[in-house]
Amino acid sequence: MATYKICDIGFAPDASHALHSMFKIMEGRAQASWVPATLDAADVLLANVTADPLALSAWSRSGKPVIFVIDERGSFPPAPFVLRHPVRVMQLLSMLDNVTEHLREPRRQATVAPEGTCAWRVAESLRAVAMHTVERGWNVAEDAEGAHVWVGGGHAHALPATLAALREGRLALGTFQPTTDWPAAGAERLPVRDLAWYVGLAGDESLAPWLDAGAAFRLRRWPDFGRLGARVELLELAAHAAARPCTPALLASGSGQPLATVNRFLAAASMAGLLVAVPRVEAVPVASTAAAPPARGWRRFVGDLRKHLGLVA
Amino acid sequence: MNDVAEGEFKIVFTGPMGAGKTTAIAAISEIDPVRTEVANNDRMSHEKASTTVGFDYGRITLPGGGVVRLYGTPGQPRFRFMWSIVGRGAAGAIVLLDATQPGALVQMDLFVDAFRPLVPEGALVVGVGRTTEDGALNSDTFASRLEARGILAPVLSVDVRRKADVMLLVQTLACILETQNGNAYA
Amino acid sequence: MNAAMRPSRVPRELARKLLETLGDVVGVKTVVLFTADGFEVASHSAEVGAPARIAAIGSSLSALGSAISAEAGLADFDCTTIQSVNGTIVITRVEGPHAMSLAVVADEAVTLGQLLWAVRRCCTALAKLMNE
Ligand SMILES: Nc1nc2c(ncn2[C@@H]2O[C@H](COP(=O)(O)OP(=O)(O)OP(=O)(O)O)[C@@H](O)[C@H]2O)c(=O)[nH]1
Ligand SMILES: [Mg+2]
Repeated sequence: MATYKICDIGFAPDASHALHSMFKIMEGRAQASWVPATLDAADVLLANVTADPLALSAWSRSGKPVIFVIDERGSFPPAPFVLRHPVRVMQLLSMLDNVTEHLREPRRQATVAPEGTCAWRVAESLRAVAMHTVERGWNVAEDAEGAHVWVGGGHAHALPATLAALREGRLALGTFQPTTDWPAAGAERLPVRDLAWYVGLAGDESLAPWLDAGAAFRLRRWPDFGRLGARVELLELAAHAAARPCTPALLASGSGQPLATVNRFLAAASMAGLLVAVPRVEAVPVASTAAAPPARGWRRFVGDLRKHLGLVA
Repeated sequence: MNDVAEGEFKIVFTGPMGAGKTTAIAAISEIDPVRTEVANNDRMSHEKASTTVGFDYGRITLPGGGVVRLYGTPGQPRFRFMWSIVGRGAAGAIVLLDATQPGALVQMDLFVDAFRPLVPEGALVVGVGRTTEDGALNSDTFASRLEARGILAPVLSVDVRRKADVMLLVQTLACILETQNGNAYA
Repeated sequence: MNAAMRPSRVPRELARKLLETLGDVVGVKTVVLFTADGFEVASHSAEVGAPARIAAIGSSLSALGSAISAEAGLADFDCTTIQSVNGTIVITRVEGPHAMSLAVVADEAVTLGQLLWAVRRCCTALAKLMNE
């Protein structure tokens, strides 16, 4: 069995102590063995979101996984591993097993994939800076027409027209870079997890490099399509991914959507912190829709409803 | 249970007083909705002039001849006895909430718990209104609450005065129903 | 129930006295005067708690009565009678500045004609009281 070193930062002494006891309790039950370590020696970081931003950004450059712990009412950061306080043993156990799966996949060691295509580089650059506080300075991305999106302090800032273009999927941003400039006058705010969703949707046709092609995925929560804007194919993919864990291939065959759309949807959902990767053994194999006859009347009925709603795919 | 095979199905709009059930049905119904609104004496709970005491009824006819029947419940707990009467046989429920109300999360629990047993598994959508107003809760707070309770239902920010927003709620519910009825899992 | 939820200036005590006269009709168990939105205004009943629930359900039935009357092209709802094997319920609208209705629950000992006549007389008296 593999042994991983884990460091926790940003917790009160009693909370830290409780976490260490949980690592002991999990011994023999988790897929790997977890031992506390210093920040420098650790393979995995367990961080309170309020932890020292300098330490967090230094860690994010290392490309090693980080599990964020958010408080009861906090909103989800755009990160793949997030726990909500108070953390229970079973939640921590399943999260560490997810991280174990992630560590076993060698190509995932580098979070910033240098060979990644341009579209995924934008997403990766956002992932790296999303948690920065404003004190660390702003980061900015630019599109071909010179529209800018700033990121700092958990929010994205952009002019209303730029936000509208982002919402409609018309904005092709470059990578996020540090800047000394402040957001333009008249810029409006958007939670960074919403920006993360749009950047994920604007990604490449291929599966995002930080996702495992063989894993099954399910939604932990639905995206707020009322706030983010909706497209029929995304609603359908969300309905499938909410119903059960699906591999990208199953999601494509079940929903009838092209694999490229599935991949962008999965990237968006994971960037926005809505996706859970399920180890393959737990994934429920489902016969493809083609094999199972739809309940009588439903397909036609929903098709008619869609025509009525003017949302023809 | 629901009559989709016969080309009809029923959706119920529910949620607390003033969340916008009557408004939502009026926004999308093709007929002038049947309303059972009377003067509201409980101005402490909500300052609006009228309130539903029976049910709302509206209808959408689809191009293929199918019919969607839209029902709205009363919101005040005093009329709880109407919830199961109106909810019976529904293909799905849409729970509407007002994000500026102090008890909105508790209201969500109350209505979600009351209507989940009345509809097929998973056939529930939550619509949250007024999320952009001062002091409003974010829709993510509602979604987290459901997640913490182990309930996976869409939570959408909407303004039910807008037809497109109400249609989005119905469309989301339709996608869930299609997914559940269109494969081996149903 | 909160007093603030009822229309103010309703002479509740006098109304309750009028309801008591219905209690004299053989078979009558419960009499409730309620607002259109289901709040009890006055009641006369042997059972505690029952009037509040009857007020809520009664207001729904009144509203549904209005809705079906309008649908059928009739004038507004006036009265509905529900008969079960062991009793009768009559819900009648009370004319006046406050939208109110009266619900009367009676057991099998009641004579329907007598009950309806007594209810009409009571409603007329209530309407007069509300208009004063
Ligand atoms: N400003 C604002 N007003 C809204 C919004 N959504 C609904 N409303 C208003 O809120 C009110 C809702 O009233 P109704 O539709 O009667 O509410 P209801 O849910 O039927 O209430 P009951 O029948 O009393 O349970 C209406 O006046 C709407 O115009 C919103 O997003 N913003
Ligand atoms: Mg209403």
